[in-house]
This record gives sequence, structure tokens and C-alpha cells, in this order.
Amino acid sequence: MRQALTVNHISAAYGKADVLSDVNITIEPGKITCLLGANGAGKSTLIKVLLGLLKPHTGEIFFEGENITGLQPHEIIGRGIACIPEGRRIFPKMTVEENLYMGAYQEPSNEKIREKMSEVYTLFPRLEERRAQLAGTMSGGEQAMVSIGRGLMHSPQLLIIDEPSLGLSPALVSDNFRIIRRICEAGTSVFLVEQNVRQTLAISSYGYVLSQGRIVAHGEARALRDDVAVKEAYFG
Amino acid sequence: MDFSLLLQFFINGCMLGMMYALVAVGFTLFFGVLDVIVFSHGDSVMVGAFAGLTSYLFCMYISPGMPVWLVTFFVFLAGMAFVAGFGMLVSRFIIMPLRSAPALNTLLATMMLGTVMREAVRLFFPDGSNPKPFPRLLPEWSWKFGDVLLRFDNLALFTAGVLLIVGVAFLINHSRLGMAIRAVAQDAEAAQIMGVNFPLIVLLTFAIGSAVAAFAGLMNGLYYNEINFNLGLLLGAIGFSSAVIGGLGNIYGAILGGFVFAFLQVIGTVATPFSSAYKDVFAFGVVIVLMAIFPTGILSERQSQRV
Amino acid sequence: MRSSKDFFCCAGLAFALFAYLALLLGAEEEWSIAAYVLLGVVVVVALVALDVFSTIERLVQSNERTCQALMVLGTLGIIAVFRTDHYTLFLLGTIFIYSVAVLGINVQLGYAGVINFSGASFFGIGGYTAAVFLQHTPTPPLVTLVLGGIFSAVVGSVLLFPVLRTSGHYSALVTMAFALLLKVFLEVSEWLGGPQGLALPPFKFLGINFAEDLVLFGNEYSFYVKYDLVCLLLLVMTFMFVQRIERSWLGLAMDAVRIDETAAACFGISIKRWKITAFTIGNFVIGVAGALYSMMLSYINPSNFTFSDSLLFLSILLLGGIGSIWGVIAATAFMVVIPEKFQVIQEYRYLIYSAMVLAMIVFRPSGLLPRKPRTYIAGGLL
Repeated sequence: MRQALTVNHISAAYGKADVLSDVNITIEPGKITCLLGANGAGKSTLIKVLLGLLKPHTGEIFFEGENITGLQPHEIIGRGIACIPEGRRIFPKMTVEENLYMGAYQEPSNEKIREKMSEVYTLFPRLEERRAQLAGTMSGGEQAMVSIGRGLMHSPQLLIIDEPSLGLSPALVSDNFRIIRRICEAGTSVFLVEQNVRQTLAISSYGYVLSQGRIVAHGEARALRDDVAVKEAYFG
Repeated sequence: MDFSLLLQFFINGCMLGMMYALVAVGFTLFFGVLDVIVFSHGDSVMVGAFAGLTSYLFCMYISPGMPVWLVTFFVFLAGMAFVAGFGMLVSRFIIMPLRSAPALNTLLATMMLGTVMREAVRLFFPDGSNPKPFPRLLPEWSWKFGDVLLRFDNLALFTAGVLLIVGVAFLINHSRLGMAIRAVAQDAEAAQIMGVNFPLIVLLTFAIGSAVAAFAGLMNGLYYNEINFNLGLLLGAIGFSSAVIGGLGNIYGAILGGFVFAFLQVIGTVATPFSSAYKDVFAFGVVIVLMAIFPTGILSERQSQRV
Repeated sequence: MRSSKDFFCCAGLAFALFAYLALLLGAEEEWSIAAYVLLGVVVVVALVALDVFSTIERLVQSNERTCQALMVLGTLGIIAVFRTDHYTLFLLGTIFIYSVAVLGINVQLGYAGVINFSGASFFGIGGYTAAVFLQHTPTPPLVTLVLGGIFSAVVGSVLLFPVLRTSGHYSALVTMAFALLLKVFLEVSEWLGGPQGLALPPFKFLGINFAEDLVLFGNEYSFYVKYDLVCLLLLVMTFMFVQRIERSWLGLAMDAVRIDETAAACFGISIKRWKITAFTIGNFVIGVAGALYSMMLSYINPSNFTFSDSLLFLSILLLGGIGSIWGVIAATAFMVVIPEKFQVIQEYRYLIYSAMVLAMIVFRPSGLLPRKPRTYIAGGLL
């Protein structure tokens, strides 16, 4: 079976400290694959490489069987990858609705955009109430909804989610994880990058552990969870 | 001071304000997408005027009997297209490569580029070091209200300026391209993650801003009926001041800033009758005071962090 | 001094450098000038390519005092060679004074990170101050030099408030607006001579009139020799002063302010105090240079102090490498001499200048001689 995304022997440097060396990852379609690692392990660098924001020194990336290494970010997004970036990164001086439109930037059909938008509004009724509000004036939890909703607007085959639990209250974190599982059940492959070990492994089917730029462990989420005591060392 | 003279000053202020606003819009757009000040923008205004003049001469050369409206259309089209293309080249080969350099480097580089443009026109345009007459392309109708003379060409230029600004504002606020430009301005990386083609958006922003500057240059030529290679330096400084007074990154601020500066000059002229030359001293002095009171502009959008 | 071998190496290098400069300055025909410039470029490129350049740098660094002394000696030698040539001597004086002014901007921008787009304005304030005092009062010229510096620093302090409140491009604009404002102000102020400007009496010191030719042992030499000696003295003093600042805790504090204001503030360094200090010191130095320059010119007008001249100062600084003292002097020499020597390109000199600086910024942004990591002298200065 064709994999959603395959990362072969990727090495990259970003700034000075954050380095990836020889990273191999496979993301299976229709499942949640997670990447765990502490701050500075190289998670953000890997995402930058996947999205084409940073060119790797060596290695190749295949998306649905096609080599996407070295493509421009907008070309990669155009192939059907979407990303919910770390720290939400909403457009603060745009309304909620404009933010959602940005999520569907490459979608030519207005009808489809409206369809998607009503889906997002069903998922987050709160956003519909606040559709005309400037996103920058909303609360942190609401901004997280905008960010997730924006990632779904594109109807991606693969959704990369970077640290969705960062800076949220425990209740909101659980909400988020529930929504991520629903997204996956609707047929989207998910690549979940997190520091929050237990909750992440609970919803993932396969996991990778990144430490100091290297994959130090990987396996079925269940197996990895049992192994957690050992791996905890990597998370400080 | 009698009323009709005051009104004449007012009309003059409006015309200058429109020109300054058009220049300032470019400064603010470029700052928005790339966080840079492109100081050669003032000289793009000058190049626009000269490109317009060249295309006028070209029209006269190939067909002296060409209808005036067609010539006017062609002059505006050629001037704006040429400067738009030039702006794209500048962004691609000078501004983008300097993206990771300190902002001072970009500022200095574009100042040097401005000098190159100025000198190139002075040296290589035939008899470029002398002022050039600019053709009167617009009908010379005028109406007299008491002592006040209202000229058709002024009215037409002002209206065209308003339409252009409204058009640009509409484009920025209500089109897909405009949304992408605003997204890039607010968070370039997030915009890329949404699938925005960043280099293309930068190119298009420079094309739009530069075309608007060329319009300002043509307006300048038609208003004064004379252009010279040097007009860009002061216009650039004024456009930059206007954009900064209004708050960099904010289009409405730039427009406001343009008119504020023009009326400061008018006030300077009125208040110092012994020498109208003090108007610039006054206007720039007020700019410095305004900066002390509003360190990030009147309608401040956000702080410029670099330099 | 490490060893006599080092000394002879340094002396040899200095001799080669100044012999080259003398040949370049003395060359008359276009083709020979072009050949010398080409030779210089080839030699420098070869030295860098063969990695000899870094060896030389090390040699110079470990024998700093000797090299500085040799540079002064060499410069004196050049002055001696051209002792009757008004034009070349004037060029040399210009180089010395511009270097002083750019070193002033270096303290502001290179150390404390205070942007100044009105360097030529403060240069002009120094010049006009000297002119006014010399015309209307019996102030001794030496005192007017200091007064020029003081006035320039005082006028600069008016700008301090907006400069300190703003940052980045906003602060750049404040100084830019001031540069444009001052030029127009000078042009329209009749009491300052308007566009025609003012004439200045020559510099006088210890009864020596600097406008009269120098007579030594019955031989007549150009009066510019005297000016050059004073200008060189000013440059040496400024050099030592600026280097002392760089290597003392003053420079350390200013560096901290420039590199990271927040971090500096966290360590108890007052951002305002150091920015004020740097801006004031810089303007003082520029003002003194301006005063001396206007006396050497004997006639000043507003077009000597335009925004383009401020840009020239900043370009020199950037070309030489921000913060690098030797780089500044080398870049000044380059920027002053090359266009003057190539009369053919006179007409094109601004075009070539700006294209060159533009290329420099895009391709070698750290400048010709980038600033070295500091040599800190504990307890140095004050």
C-alpha cells in the first residue's frame, strides 16, 4: 500500500543548534502518526523541511509516491498537505472568516469553500458567532479553534499538527485531541507533533521519538506507551 | 489673508496631498510585506514621469496626429507598466536577497539605488540634467468662482488619484490577491503554510506600489508641466515621512500622512510670508515633533523592530 | 614588539603600502592611474586568495603600536613627497577630515547602534559655527574648533528626544528629516549667507597663518602642508580616542546596547544613557571635523552639507566595515581619491559610487575590513 508520506534520510540545519540528521519517517494513510520530542529536539525543523520552508542538505521526501523534495511551500500545500502551525499563527488583523478563507487559499471553487466553512462552523459553533471579529482580539482557546478550523479548510490528505496543546488549559487540550481523532476518522492522515506524551500516544497508531535531531525510537503507539518509562529520559 | 487666496492654497494642498499619499501608499505596502523601507521609491516616481514623457515623444514620432486621449492613455499605460516592471526587478534582485541582512543595509542599498536611477536619467536621457517640459495632455478648461480659478486638469487628476487609491484599497481589502498581501504582511511564514506563493506576492506588491508611484510621477508632470531628474529625492523623503507619520504598514495612515504633510507645507507657506522656502523647514520640523509625540505614527500599526 | 623580524616585516609592508599610495596619488594619466588601481586590486585579491592576508592581519595585530607609528610616519612621508602639490595635499586633508567625521558616526552607529542620517548636517553645523564665530568675534581659531564640536553636540541633543523615543525606521526618519530641514534652513537664512554661504578666515595657531605658504630653510612649500599636519593630528587624536572607547567599558556597554537592548537593560545598563553618550560624542567629533574642514576650504555653502553627503559618510562606514576603525580610514581614502583621480569619470562618479556601494551591500555586507572581536583593556579609559 502507498504511504501518505515518506521521509528518507533527511538531514538539515536550521540556525545553529537545531539540526536533523538522517531522519526516516513513514506516515500511513488514514491514521494518526505522532512525533514526540522535547524542546529543541528538531521537531519544528522537521516540519519546516516537510513544508518546503527549509531545504534539507540531504535526503528525500515522498508524498503519495511523488518526490516533493525541493518544491516551493505553495506547491507542497497544493499537493494536499495542510499544517496547523505551532503557536496558532492566526492572522490577527483579519476576521475569523478571512482567516478561514486563507486556509482555503488554493481552493478555486467558492462553493467548496462555503461547504467547508459550514463544516468548520458545525465543528466550532463558537466561530460562527464570532465570524466578523478580528481574530487577534479573541481568547487563546478561540484562536486555537480558528487555527484548527483554518487547517481543515483546505480538505488536505495529510494534516500536520504542531504542538496543539501548547499554552492551553487541560480541558481545552482534551477537546483538541478529541477533534484531532475525529479529523482522522473522517479520512485525513494526521501527523501529530507533540511534547505531551501520554495523550498523544493514546490517540496515535504509530509513533516516533526525536531527540537531538535523531529518531531514537519508533513503533506501535501501544508498544511505545509501555516503553514510556525509558523514553521519558529524552523528554527531561 | 483673503479668502480666495486661502482657497487657492487649499486646492494646491489637495493636489500635493494626493501626490504624497500615492507615494506613501507604496512605502507602506512594501513595508507591510517585507518590513523594508524602499527609499528608491521616490525615484520610481521620477522614472515614471520620464517613461511617460518618452512614450509621449514616441507617439508623436510614429503618428503626430494621434488623438490626445489615446496619447494620454498610452502615456499612463507605458509609464505605469514600465515602473511596475522595474519595481519587480528591484524586489527580485535587490530587496529579496537582502531579506536576512540588517534593515539599515536595505535602507542604504535602496538609497544608493535611488542615486543610480537619478544619475542614470541625468546622464543618459538626452539633455537629462536640465528640466524637461511635460506636455499638457489634459484639456485646459477652467471655471472661475469669484477670484478662485478651478482648473479642469487639476480636478481630473485629483479624481483619478482618488479612484486609484480607492481601487488599491479595494484590491487590498476585498480580493484574493489583497488577502494574500495582508496575510504576508501579518505573518509571512503562516501565509506560506496556507499555500501562498510568497515570492510571487512580493513581486505583485512591488508591481502595484510602483505603478501607483508612476501615476504620482505623471500627475506631477501634468500638474507642473515640467519634470526633472531630481524630483524623486524630495518626493521620496516626503512619501517616507507621510507613511511614517501615518504609521508604517497602514494604507489609510499613509493617505492621511500624505495630506497632513501637504497641509503642513501649506501652513508653512502661509505662516512665513517672508520666505515660502521655510515651508519645508516647518513641515520637516513638525514631522520630527510628531515623531517625538507618536513614536510609531498616528495610526500606528505596529513597531518596526529592526535597524 | 615581538622581534626585530616582525618589525622589519611591518616596516616593509608599510613602505610598500605608502610607496603604492604615493605612486597612485602622483599618477597623472588616466591609463597609469587605471593600471595602479588594477595592480592594487590584483595584489589584494592575490593576498586574500593565497591566505597571506590573514597572516598580515595577525602580524599587524600583534605589533599594533609599531604599525600605528609606521602608518603615521608613512603618511608624513606622503605629505613630504607632495609638499608643493596643492591639489594632492588638499585631497589628503580631505581624507583625514572625512575619516574623523566618519569615526564620529562610527561611535554612534557602530558602537551604540544609534542611526544618524544627518552626519553631513552636524559637519555643517560645525563649519557654520566656526564661520560665524570667526567673522563676528575675535575667538581664536583653535577655540572655534571646540565650539564647532560643542554646537553640533548641542543641536544634536535637540534631536535626542525624538531619536530616543523612536526606534528602527522611525528613528532613521527623524535624522533624515533633520538633514533635509537643515539644508533648506541654511539656504533660506540670509544671516548665514543663504545659498552663497560664508567665507572663513584661515586657521591660525601660535601666530602661524595657515593660508600662507610654508617656508622652511628658504624653500617654499604649499600651505596645505600645514593644514594636513593639523588634520592628521586631529585624526590621530580621534583614532586614539575612539579606540580607547571601543576597548574600555564604555565600548562594552555601547556594544551591549546595540546588540540587544532588552538583555542590556536586564544587566542594569541604561539604554538611554549610552545612546545619549554615543550620539553626543559622535556629533562633537563630527562638528570639530566640520569646523576644521570649513577653515581649510575657506568658503562654505549649504551644498557642502546635503543629504547626499550624509549618505556618503554612511556609505564609507558601511564600505569600510561598521565598527572597524582602519576600515573607515581605508574606505575614506578610496572614496575620496578614486573619483578625483579619474577625471574622465568625474561626470559619472555618483553613478559609479552608488552602484559600487550597492553591489557591496548585496555581495559583501560586512565591509572591506570587518570589525575584529574586541581587545578589551580592563580598567582602560577614565
